[in-house]
Amino acid sequence: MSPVHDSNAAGSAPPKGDAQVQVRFRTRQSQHAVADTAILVPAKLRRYGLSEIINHLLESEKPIPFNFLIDGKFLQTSLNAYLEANALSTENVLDIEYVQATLPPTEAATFEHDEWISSVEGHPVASLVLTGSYDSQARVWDRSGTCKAVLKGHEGAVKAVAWIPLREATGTKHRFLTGGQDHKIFGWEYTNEAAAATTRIAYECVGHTGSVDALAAHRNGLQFASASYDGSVLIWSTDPTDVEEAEPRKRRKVPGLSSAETGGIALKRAIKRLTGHVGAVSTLTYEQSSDTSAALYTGGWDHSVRIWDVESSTNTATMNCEKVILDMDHSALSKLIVSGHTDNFIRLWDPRADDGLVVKLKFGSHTNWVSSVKWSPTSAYAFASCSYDSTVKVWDIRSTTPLYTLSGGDVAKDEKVFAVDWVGDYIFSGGEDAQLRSFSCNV
Amino acid sequence: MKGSRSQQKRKAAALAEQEDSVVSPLETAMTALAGAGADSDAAVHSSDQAPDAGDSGDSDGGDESAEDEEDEEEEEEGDELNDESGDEDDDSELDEIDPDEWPSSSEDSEADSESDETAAARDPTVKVLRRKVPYPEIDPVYDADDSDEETTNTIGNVPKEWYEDFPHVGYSIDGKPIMKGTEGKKDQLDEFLSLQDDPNAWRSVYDDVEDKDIVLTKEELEMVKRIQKGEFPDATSNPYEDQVEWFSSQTLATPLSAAPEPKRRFVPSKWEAQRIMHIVRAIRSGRVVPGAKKPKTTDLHNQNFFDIWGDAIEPVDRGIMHIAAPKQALPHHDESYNPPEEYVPTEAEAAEWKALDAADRPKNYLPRKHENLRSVPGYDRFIQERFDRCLDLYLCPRVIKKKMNIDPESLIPKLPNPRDLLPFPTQLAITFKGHKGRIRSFSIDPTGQYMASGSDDRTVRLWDLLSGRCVNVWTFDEGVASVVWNPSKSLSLLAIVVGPKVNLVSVPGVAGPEITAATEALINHIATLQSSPTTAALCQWMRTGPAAAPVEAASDAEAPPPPTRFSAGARLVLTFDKAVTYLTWHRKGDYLSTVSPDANTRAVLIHQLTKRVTQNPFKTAKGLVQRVTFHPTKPFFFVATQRYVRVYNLASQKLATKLQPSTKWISSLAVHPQGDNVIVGTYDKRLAWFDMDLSSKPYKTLRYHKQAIRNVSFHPRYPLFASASDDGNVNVFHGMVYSDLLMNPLIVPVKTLRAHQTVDGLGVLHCEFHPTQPWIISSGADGTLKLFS
Repeated sequence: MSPVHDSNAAGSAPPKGDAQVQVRFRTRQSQHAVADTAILVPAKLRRYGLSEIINHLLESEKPIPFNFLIDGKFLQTSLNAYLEANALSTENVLDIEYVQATLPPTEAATFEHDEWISSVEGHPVASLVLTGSYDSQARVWDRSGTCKAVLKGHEGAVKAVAWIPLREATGTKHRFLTGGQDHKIFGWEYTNEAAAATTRIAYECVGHTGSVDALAAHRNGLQFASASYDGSVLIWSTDPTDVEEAEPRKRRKVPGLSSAETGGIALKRAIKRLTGHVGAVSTLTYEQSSDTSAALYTGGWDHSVRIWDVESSTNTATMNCEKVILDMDHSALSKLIVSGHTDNFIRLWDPRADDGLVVKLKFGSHTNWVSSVKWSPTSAYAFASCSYDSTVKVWDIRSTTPLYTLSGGDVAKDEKVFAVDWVGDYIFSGGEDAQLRSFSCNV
Repeated sequence: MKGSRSQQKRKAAALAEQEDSVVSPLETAMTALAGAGADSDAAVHSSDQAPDAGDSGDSDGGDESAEDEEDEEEEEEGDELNDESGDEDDDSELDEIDPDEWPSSSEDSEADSESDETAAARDPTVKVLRRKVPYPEIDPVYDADDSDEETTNTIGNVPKEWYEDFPHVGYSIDGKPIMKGTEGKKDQLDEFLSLQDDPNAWRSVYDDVEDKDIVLTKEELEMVKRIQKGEFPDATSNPYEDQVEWFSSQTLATPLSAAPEPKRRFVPSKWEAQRIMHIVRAIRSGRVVPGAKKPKTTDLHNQNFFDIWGDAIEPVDRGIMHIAAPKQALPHHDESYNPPEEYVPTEAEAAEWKALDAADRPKNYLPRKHENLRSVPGYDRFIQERFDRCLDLYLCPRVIKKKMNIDPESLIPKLPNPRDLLPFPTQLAITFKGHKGRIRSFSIDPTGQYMASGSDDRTVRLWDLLSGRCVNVWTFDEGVASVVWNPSKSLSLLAIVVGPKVNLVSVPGVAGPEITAATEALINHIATLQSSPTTAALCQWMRTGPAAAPVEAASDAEAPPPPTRFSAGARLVLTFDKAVTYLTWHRKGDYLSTVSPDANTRAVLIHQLTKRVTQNPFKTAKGLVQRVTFHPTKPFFFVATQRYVRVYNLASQKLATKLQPSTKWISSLAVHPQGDNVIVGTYDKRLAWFDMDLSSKPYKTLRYHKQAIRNVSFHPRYPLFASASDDGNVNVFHGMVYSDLLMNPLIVPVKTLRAHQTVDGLGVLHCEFHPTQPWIISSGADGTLKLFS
């Protein structure tokens, strides 16, 4: 009796879990391509099940994890739930794109610092990492964790550091900038020779009347911009010869400076001043192109994001978002701007939009201020963010939830993370726990 | 002789019957007397009988009888055959009328019949008054009396149908069968033939009891006709007889009743008067409008139809003052005759119940279980219960309470949604840890980048606001009462109140070198000035700290950390007689005012930096001074004592207004950046908002805290204000002040920030808004500062 009953039940109304849906797989990664035909798969499948199907189709010996996108959004639920959420019928043919999933980032190394780290910047070519610290010193690390140089010169916390891209790859000679709460910006020259690494202050930039909170160098290495708490954005030339030779002033002796500096430091004046921000300017970033007319994006405490035409020193577009912007980054690949705010959200802007900047997306997962954001140098979709909630998160703009959450400090101690950088396959973060953390991550 | 005698009597009786009620019985008796000569017995007798007969009498009887006579003549031929039966009927009629009196009265009246008839012929009035047809004379032959007439049915009361199939109809008393009569039930042919032959066939009826045809008489046919028409079977009976007015308005010589007129005939009716007064009252109260037309209810829509399908029971209007008796509670399970086991009390419970006083018993009955309804005894408490109920209804006056049917929601003022009032601080962002004691006071520097906090642990800490990092610590001899930055952006000067000393410290590094230099220059300039005698009497100004020595030299000597940049620079110390509790700067940064409540008349002092002058504006003490504040734009000075806030005009040196928050102890005071509104926090948990243009009484009193309010603060830019309390909460309000003077300020509580822990009954001790952002920072007794964004 019961088998008959069961078959009847199955025949009249198949249970939801057994529903099937037609899908068509496609990928942009040609090495993983499968046949472009619609196949019937159970609707209850999630990412893992679909990944198994692809691996089965590819007949790969070693299973490769895949992520699946429908309409440019990561599939984070089962197919069934997706269909229900989008009010789609199981009779539709779903077009699913798949990409090889990245492995979760692994903590690669932790470098002990003396004091809170305020800023981190990895060298895009050389395996060097520059950190600024609240002990008014900047440091140069190599990726093995040895401190190559301790840069003393600031009288206040170093708030911003930036490498200056070199036009010709010299290999051992690097230039970088540091800006601090003492309103000063120093241009440094660093020679990493086998025998000994030497650093010297090439010039000191004077002009800011507030703490220098952000520095950014142009892609072509010819100019850089600085943002200050006093609300000004200054454009400087990186040319070390374009300086006023300082008269031998009474200066404080700073230990660690080479003997050349004791006589005086060359002073540099800004070549341009961009005025417009009503409050402090907290962040700025150049458009990631080598073009000399690359735009400059700034964000500040007046809740505005501004686009500047540097050549004409004009503010071409302004967009308000009601919240203080703590950090911004522009992606060379996706040409989008991502920004971190004090309302715990990350916003995605499109500077190419006709009507100025438009917030495209809001990402919310952090539970405190988002102190820093950085695009992945290799992916047009991935970016990393760090927050005062002691976490570093890796995001994909196709997914509204973070891909990975990494520890950037002790949550119990409220250890804030102040800076994050993404260079190559590594994510660096630094914060209140006074540790430079690096995560290997190949998204 | 006997026959004539009886005939006479019958005549008299008939006459008496015929007499109409119009004729008084006495008159009838008189006529009878007159006609019959002297037969007083009969006359008296007949007069006695008269009322009985007259009751059923009819004045029209005479006419009808005449008609009947005519009818008789017309149908004479039909009558001839049935004379006997007609007589029978008449007799039976008579019997019905007077079955009892027949033997007694008939003889007396019989004698007068002759003379009466003649008299009637002579006098037409008598004829008119005759009510009934005279019954036909009964021939006194032997056959005439049918009282002993035998019925032919001798079979007794036996159903006919038993013998339908037999030739006999039953049995005689002798037990012999009685055969069915030959003329009895005819077949159809016989019936037809008889119909053709017999002229009486149409009115003959077969009587199956006597088994013969009976021919109906003319009277019987008439009766059948009347019954068929629906009239009375008796042609003589009249349902519409005239009323006899025995008691009329005419005064009779011999009235029927001689009873004296009752008193009520002469006294105005009390009940009538009451009834009239009731109507009069109704008219006075307007319930009744004389002459008002009743609204016509012909309109179908206005008519009240009972909705038989509706669920709601129509309220019955029982008048204005009717109050329905409260309903009695429905019986409980344990009042059932067969309650569930759990309701039946155990013996112990029953004993306990019985032991209690009747008034103390929770229930006035003891649940009992009966096997079935049959075994339930009579309810002995019925009378008592009804009595109690009546007593309840009687002793408890019922009053109509006029309920105000107000929606409570409508009483709450319409406030905008806090979501629409963003931005305001909503969540904890940064916690500043480091202090080990209560943080009494802190101050954010004018640029909003740094913050200085003073604590009971005798330290002042300088914080980087954005990162929450402590950048410097200064240690003092005593707990720090107050820390206030100089509001001027061209100076980097911090006022630190420690005991009776006020330290004005230049903080290098917070601002740029130019500003630091300017600050140092100012302090050095003050040091060069000489205090006037009045100033010296009030307080000592003294230059201390790293003196005029160059900064580099000083920092060389001291080794970091903490970074030398933030070590306190030049210092100016103002020393007072008594401990200073509060300090406030004028917005331009040149004047400052200190409060030392114990110093009596010197409680409030105003100092001018650039001139090194100390003034005592008040010669007399008005009370224990709590707080003082400068007006942001006008030369006004607010002094908050325990009870009042006095506003002085410094230019004219007069009291401008006196604000009365009507509380016991003011704790704090803040002035709106535009200057026309003041908020006052009190130790009795209230926050009073004063509109200075409006009144000296609070415009709004807000009570959102459970404990004393420690501090209140306005945001310098956003329409926000906040109160910090000992309950550990900071309440943030939206306080919009409109430039239109006619618009009252809009005050909306938007957020309660809970983050601080209460230590020793103290919660949040100070709160202050960020100068540019909608952020608030609070300091607590738990030794932390918290930034909410």
